[in-house]
Formats: sequence, structure tokens, C-alpha cells
Amino acid sequence: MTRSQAALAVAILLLAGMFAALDPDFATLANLSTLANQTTVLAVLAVGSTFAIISRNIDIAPASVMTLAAVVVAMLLHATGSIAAALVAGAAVTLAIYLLHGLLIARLGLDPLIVTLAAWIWARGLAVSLTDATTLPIRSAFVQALDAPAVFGLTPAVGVVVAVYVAGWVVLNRTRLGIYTRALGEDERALAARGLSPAAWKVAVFAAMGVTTSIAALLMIARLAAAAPTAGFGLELDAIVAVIIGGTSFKGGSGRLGNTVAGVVFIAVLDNGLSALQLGDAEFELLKGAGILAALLLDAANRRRGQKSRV
Amino acid sequence: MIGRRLAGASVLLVTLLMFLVFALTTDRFASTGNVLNLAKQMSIIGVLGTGMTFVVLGGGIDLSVGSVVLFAGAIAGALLTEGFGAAPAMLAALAGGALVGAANGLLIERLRISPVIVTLGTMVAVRGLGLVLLQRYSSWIDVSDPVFDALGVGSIAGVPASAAVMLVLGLAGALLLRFTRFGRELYAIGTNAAAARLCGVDVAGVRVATYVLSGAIAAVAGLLSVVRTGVVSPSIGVGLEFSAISVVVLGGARLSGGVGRIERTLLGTAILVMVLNYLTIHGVPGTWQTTVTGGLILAAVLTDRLLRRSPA
Amino acid sequence: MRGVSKRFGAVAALSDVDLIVRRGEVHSIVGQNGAGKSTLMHILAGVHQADAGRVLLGGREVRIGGTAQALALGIVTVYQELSLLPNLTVAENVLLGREPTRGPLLRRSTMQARARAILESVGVGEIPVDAEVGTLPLAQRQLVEIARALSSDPGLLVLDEPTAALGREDAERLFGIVALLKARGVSTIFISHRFAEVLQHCDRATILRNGRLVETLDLAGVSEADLTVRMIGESAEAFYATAEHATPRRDVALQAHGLRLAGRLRGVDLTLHRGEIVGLTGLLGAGQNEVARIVAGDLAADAGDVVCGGRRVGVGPRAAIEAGICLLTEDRRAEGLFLDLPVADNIALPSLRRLRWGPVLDLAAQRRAVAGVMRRLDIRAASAGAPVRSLSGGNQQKAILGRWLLRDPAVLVMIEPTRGVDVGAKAELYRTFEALAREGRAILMVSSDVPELLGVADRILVFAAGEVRESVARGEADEDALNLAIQKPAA
Repeated sequence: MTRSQAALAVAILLLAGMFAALDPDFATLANLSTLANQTTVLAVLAVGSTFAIISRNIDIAPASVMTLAAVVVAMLLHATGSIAAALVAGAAVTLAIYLLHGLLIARLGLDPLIVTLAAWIWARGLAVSLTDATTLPIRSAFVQALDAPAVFGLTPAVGVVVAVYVAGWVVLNRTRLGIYTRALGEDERALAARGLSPAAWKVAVFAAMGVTTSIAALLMIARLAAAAPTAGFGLELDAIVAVIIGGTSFKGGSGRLGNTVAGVVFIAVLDNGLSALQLGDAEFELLKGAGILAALLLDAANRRRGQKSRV
Repeated sequence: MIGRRLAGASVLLVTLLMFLVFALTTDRFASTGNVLNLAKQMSIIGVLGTGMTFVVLGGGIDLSVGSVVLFAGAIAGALLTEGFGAAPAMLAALAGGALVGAANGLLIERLRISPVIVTLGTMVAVRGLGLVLLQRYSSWIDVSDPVFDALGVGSIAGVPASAAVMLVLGLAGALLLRFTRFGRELYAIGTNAAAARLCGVDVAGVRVATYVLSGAIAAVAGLLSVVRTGVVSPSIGVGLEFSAISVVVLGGARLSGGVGRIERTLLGTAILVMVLNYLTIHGVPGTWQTTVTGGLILAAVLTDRLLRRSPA
Repeated sequence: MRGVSKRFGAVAALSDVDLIVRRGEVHSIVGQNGAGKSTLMHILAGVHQADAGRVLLGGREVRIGGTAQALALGIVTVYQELSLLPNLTVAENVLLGREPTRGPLLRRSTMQARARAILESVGVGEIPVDAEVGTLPLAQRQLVEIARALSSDPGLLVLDEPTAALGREDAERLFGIVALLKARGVSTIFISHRFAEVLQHCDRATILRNGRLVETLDLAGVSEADLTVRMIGESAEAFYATAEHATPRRDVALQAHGLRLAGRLRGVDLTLHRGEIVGLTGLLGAGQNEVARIVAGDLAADAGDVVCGGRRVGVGPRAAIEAGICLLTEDRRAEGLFLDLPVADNIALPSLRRLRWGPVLDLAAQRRAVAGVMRRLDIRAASAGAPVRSLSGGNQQKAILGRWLLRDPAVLVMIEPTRGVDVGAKAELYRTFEALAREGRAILMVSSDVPELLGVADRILVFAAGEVRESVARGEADEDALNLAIQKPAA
């Protein structure tokens, strides 16, 4: 375990300890399983963010695209009555958007921040416009089943999360896409020199991110049993922060999903603990922001100690 | 080369063309009342865009400005309610914004954390701070102060006061960029930070300064927001950081730094406001405004890329 | 390759060049920096496309539209700047693009075995295949890169300065491999400025100068002096000789004591006198670059200090510049130039503090200063307001020199100052360096160009394994001796 991983583990334990002390209900099985159930969407988004950051592409769109996908699902379910068709449509919309991003960024060389920023704005905007800012219920047995507590109070959604992480790990460590994701983050010219197309593989990375975002959308629908155009605000931030706090460098080229897990746990504990304290919105945001900044500081301090410094 | 010149001049051309087309196709568009309205709507975003231009020129980004708007507004509102005059209230607000900017700058430069992440974090934390402060006054402050009121309705030579503030600030910023060492160093840093450092430029110092400027200028926007509505409410400033980035991009600046001008950011602001105004006049519901804004940004970068067509 | 031409903007990198390589021969391309060797090889490798000309393989014309096509045609290039990815393992790097898979998954054990086999075929089986490339020393990385190139079964192998980082032993290993390939009928294009190597291992050579073909000749019986004359158009002495070399003065301009840097420098002392030009050289990674950067304030040493003008120089480029030390790096584009900014801004930036009127810049004074510099160094540009990107390599380098001249420096530190500069501009630069030395300034020059060092430097320090191994004064050694000193294996 590296020093920064150890530091993060300590931070999580301290945080958990603090909350447990402040709130006797914190450390119960019921609360912990609720915590797990609540974190499913973030956890899956974080997988996508991991791929993004390793390949040196930033993506701040997933939460907005997810919301739009949910709206599409709700609308199609209402129109056709088939949850399968609706889910497929939602996934298709998500993938289409991500492929579009991939093409704009890889083929045209646009800045990923700007493209995903635009999507952050227009995707949510579209979701709000299509629903007139109201929440659309999604009634389906399949969706309900995903959110029904089963083992130890954990829902099948948690199982989906585990599956996504396993799949993500396999892709990152046992497939060509994994190697090329890291290569893209380091120096895409090396790929070109080997006769590979950096643009094509970048699009592949975006496709992977599209898959994780679709699954996240599904889990969000399960959680809310609805499409809420204003939900998930800020989750993309949490996802990125989880990856960074976990220890993956923003500069790209390397990274582990294991780190992301730690980061997600940190944010989940922070969120859960703070809400249990029954703070007002204001204090919640303040403390959460402070918590995140503190973790970033810790991580940065640890990184510096291992580096040769340029003056 | 010609492509780049065209890209620069194109912002002005697009703005003028847009105004002409809108004015010719819509009755009310070019009326004095509407133009004044446009000017007022531009002021807050234009001010934010000015501050953001500094940060973007240095290769950074500041996502906390919307929260600073709230924070600064809350500070001013609080001081006014406690009986202090307009001047101390405004100064305190400015100081608050500058402090946030300094915090951003130091975290980014000292700890070498990406600006996106740091300012996302301060965005959350500072909004929280502002809301906490506001809560002490039941989350709603009615501002009644002669100076603020005057700024709200007054105008200088026919130009609404808030728009005048935007123009003055914009002019000052543009002069700063063109005619001072700071400005030249900033462009150098945005173009090639490594080379700038080797030329003896205090890269970190200049970048921190851009964040302080951004924070202080965002505070001005916060004051303008209070001036315009007469209240400080928990929802002011929400999402404004993205409008600010939008107008900077619309003005042709590059997010990687080194390219951009305040004059063009203000033109970008005009474009955004005109488009939204046009849609409103034609009855397009407000919820579509965000969609259109996002689409505009994409269109702007695409055009810029296609016009320039040069390797990054 | 016949009649190949290529322009980059206003600069004609290649004009109507012919290159004929026979099957199974080792062919060298000889030319100074900026002569067009790299551009020609880039076209062959598919990185650039020629504006005019044809490429024929085995008599058949081929179109090389991209790197994939070049590889498919059996043309494998090993570049000077390694294209290995530091965060990936040796196995991943070697097999990048050719990983063994079963469906979507990698076959890891197969991959490891294959990588090991490839390394062994080059004689470097001892390098662990699952080590991250970033942790390997430079020489090993070069060998991994060569192994990778060979493993794709090339019909034509292009080696661009492969021995820059290799000591004698490793270099011999490389030549052994080249000989093996020759026996198998594989052709090799070998680019090196080490003429001794070229003459020993190559059959024929093509000489380029300023983007044009000078001649193609059989190397039997050719001497190094011959090659030099053909390459630059005059003898080495005539080229590098300038008006008399200034005699270095006695007073010390700069001193460095006990410079230490973990893993790079093991305690280096250095003294520079006014009016002296001191050359630093050695194999890649021997420490000369680090010393130069520490002296110029770019890099912080773990221990030791730098004293200039009687005072200890603080850390950081700003402190060095204030002390009168300035740095010209080897990578103009990445560390020296502001490509999209005007020439005037590029030149004036470090001097802005002086060129102002209170808080505002004094534009007139700036214009005058810049014009003066451009005149003095004969910098050719459309105007002072033209973006510096539009200048030729030589003029760009002059612009950077001009930037520092405005600061009236006591010490100029230069790293590979004539890289990417054509022959004519090089001569100008040497004359300028001499002039600067005559003015009493001290110059510290890192260079891997042995003739350049011998011609220009008053004293040459040869580095090896982080220390100064030898000091050679002007006239004390010739090219062979200096090359020997550089390549001698570390004790």
C-alpha cells in the first residue's frame, strides 16, 4: 500500500469514527447498507471518470446526460408501455451523445472540457425543457426490483455496481483498450508511431464511458423510480473528486480502479455522515466542500513528498 | 494566418450581423427599451466574463464565480442590515471575493491541483458559506440603501448604471492586458508557461493574481445582482459560472490559454444575451434557454476550430 | 526515394532529394542538424507526406499515407526521441499494437513470453518484462526500443542516432545486430553524426546539406575529414575558425561547487572565466545537461551552490537572470519560444521591467530595443510584429539569443544551441558566440557535436556517470580522442 493510499484509508476511518461518535445510528448495518444503496449511481459514474482521467480527457457531462437519458426512458415508457424498449432507447441516446463527443474531441481536436461543459449545460437543459421541470414517474417491476433490499439490506443495484467494477477492472488491465487508455493519457503519438489510430481509440474510450453512464442512468431510475430533471446535480463533481482523492493522477497515464473505490467510499461516508447530522442545506454544502478540499490537500501533500521539485 | 485574423474579427462581425438580422426580423428588438434591457442583462454576465477572461488567459478556469456572487451579495446584504453604509458593505464584499480568489489561486499553484477540481470544490464550499451567512437573516435580505437604489435605476448618459460598470471594468481590464507588464506576462504564460518561467516570469504569482482578480470581479457582479433585484436570495449566482465560461468561449478565447481579449468576451456576452432575448421575444419558454446556451458554446468552438484549421 | 521535396510553411526542408538504398546494405545519411535528414525519414515512416517525389520499394512505387502503411510495408523506424511510454511495462511497450489476444482479452502469459523472447533476441533478456519503462535507465530504454523495432520483422530498418545514449559496449551490441540483419538481407538506414561509426559500419552514405542532395558515395576508403568537407562544404578548421579566438581572461565569472543531484550528479565543480567558452559533453544522461540547468537556475540541486559575480545565486530562473545568468535550451519550441506571439514580445519579455513608464509599458522604448537587437543579430522576419512561428530555425534561435542580450548577461548557458539550424546560420551563430566572448561574457555550452566543440570551445569538460571525467583544453585533442573520451565505459 502506498503512502497516499494509507493516508486515505486513515482519513476514511477517522471520518467514519467521527460520525459514529456524533450519531449512534451511523455504524449500524441498516445505515451502512443504506449508504451502499445510495452510492450506487456515484460508484458507477466514478468508473467512467476513471477511464476519462486516465486517458487525459475530462468529462463533466455524465450527470446531465444521465438525467436526459432518464427523461427519454420515462417518455418512451409512457408512449410504448415497454420498459425494455424504453431502456434501450435511453442507452442509445447516451451512447450517441458520447460517441458524438468522442468524434468532436478525437477527430476535430476540440477541448474535452468545453465539449462536455456544453453537454453539461444543454443535456440538462433539454431534460428540463422536455419535462417542463417536472418529475416523470417510471413504473416498472424490473426497475422496482433493482431497488428492493435483498441480501443484508443491499439491493440488486449494488450487485450491478460490483459487476461494473469487475468488468471495468478487466477492461483496464486485461484488454487492449486498457493499455491504450493509459497510452492515450501519456502520449498519443506513441500510438500513432505504431500504426494505431489515436483518434479511433479515443472514441473507444468515450464509448466505454457511454456504457458506464447508461448503467448509471439505469441505477438512478431504479433509485428514484422516476426521471427527475433536477436530480443528480453535482454528481459529476463527486465522481471526478472520488477518482482524484483515490490517488489517480489528474495528469493521466496511470490509475487503478481500486483507488477509485477508496475515493468513492470516502465521498459516500462524508455524504452519509453529514446528512445524518441533519444539517441545513447550507452547512451541508459548506462542510462537504471543506471535506473535499481537505482530502485534496492531503493527497497533494503526499504526492509532493515523492517528487523531485522544479523550482 | 489569415484564418486566425478572420477568427478574431469574426466575433465582431457575428455580433453586428446578429444584431442586424434580429432587428430586421423582429419588431421590438431594436427598440430603445429593448436595447436598454439587453444592456442591463449583459452587465452581470459581462462582468463575470471579464474576470473569467483573466483566468482563462493564464490557462486556468474558475468555476467558483457563481458562488462568489452569492457570497459577496450576502456579505453586502449582511453589513447593510447591520447598519453599515454602502461603502463598507461594498468594500467588504470585494474583499470577500478577493479572498476566495486568493484561496483558489494558492491551492492551484502551491499544491499543483487542477483548477477544475479546486474551483469545483470552492464552488460548493463558498456557496455553503454564503448560504450559512444568509441564514442568519432568514435567508432573505431586502436591500434598501440610497446608493444601491440609485445604481439600480440610474443611468449615465442614457446607459444604465450597471452596464456602465461593466463597460468601465471591461475597459480597465483591457487596458491592463494591453499596456502593462502583467498583461504581457499573462499572455506569455498562457502561450508557453515553461518558457515564461525560464524568462524569469513569476508564473505562479501571475496566475494567483488572475484568480484574485476573478474573485474580486465576481464580487462586483454579486453587488450588481443585488442592485438589480434589490434582494439577496439563496438562488442568486446559480449556474452563472457556466454563462461566464460560455461568453469567454464565444469571444474566441482558448481554454488552454494565451488567446483571448476582454473586448471580445464582451462581444460574446452580447451574442449570448441577444440570442436569449430573441428567443424570449418569440415566446420560447425559459427552460430552453440552457439548452440553447449549451448548443451555442458547441457551435462557437466548432466554428473557431474550423476557421483556424491549424494543428493545436 | 526520388525527387522528394517538402516544405513547412516558408521553409523548404527538402528540395528534390534522391535516396537509393540497396537491399542488404547499411546506408548512412549524413548532414548537419537542419539538413533534412529527419524530415526525409519522417516521410519514409509515414509521419509526413512529401509535397513532391516518389518512393519506390523493390522497384514498385508505394504510397505511404500514414504510419500504419509504413509499418505494413516493413519500414520500421527507431527515433531519437524514444516513443516508449514510461508508465507502461516493457512487455506492453514492446508489443504495443500487436498484443496477443483471445477474443477481447489479452493473453498475459503469452505476452510476457513473447516480450522476453524479443528482448533475448537482441541480447537484453535480463531486462524484466513487467518493469515499468520509466524506471529503466536510458541506455536500457534505447535497447528495448531497438528490440521492439526488430521484432516487427522489418525489411527496412531506420535508426536515427541510436548510439546517442549507448556506451561502447552497448553500441557494439547494436552493430552486431545490424550485421546480422545485413546477412539476412534486411537494409538499414543509419543516421549518426559519429563519423567513426559511420565509416566502420556503413557501406554507402547519402549526404544532405540545407535540404538538398550533395552526393551519394561509397564509403570505402573515405576519411572522416572527407565526409566533413562534403557535409559542410569546407574543412572543419575553416568552418569553425573565426576571427581569432579571444583569450579568456583571468577573472572568474562563475563558480559552481559540489553540485549533487540524486541519481544524476555525484559532486561537480565548475569554474568559468570571463571571455571563456566552456563546452560540456558526454553520453546522454551523463549529467552535463543537469549541470547546465542547475547553473542557470532551472533545476534545484540537492547540494552545492553556484556563485556568480561574487554572490551566491539563489534558486529559480528569476534569481539566475538577476544574477546575470541566462539559459538557451535545446528545445526551442517547448521551452524557448512563444510561437503565436510576435517576435517583439518574444525578445522583450524578460526585460519588461526596464522598459516601462511607471505601471505602463513604454512601447516606444520597447520598439527601439527590439529593433536594435534584430539589427545586431541580423534577425530576418517579416516584421517585429510577425509571430515568431514564421521565422526559420536559425532566426528563431537568434531571437532567443537576442532576448538575452537585452539583459546584458555575464554568463550565457546554452544547451545544443545549433540544433535544427542550417549551416549558414550556424556559422553566424559561432561568430556571434565569439563576439560575445570577446565582450567579456562567459559561455557554458552543452553540445553533442564534437567538431563544434573542438572548433568553438576554449575548454571541454567530458561528463560520465554524473561527474566530470576529463577536461580538454583547446588544441589538446582531436575528434577521435574526444569521441573516445566520451564513449569510454564508466569506471
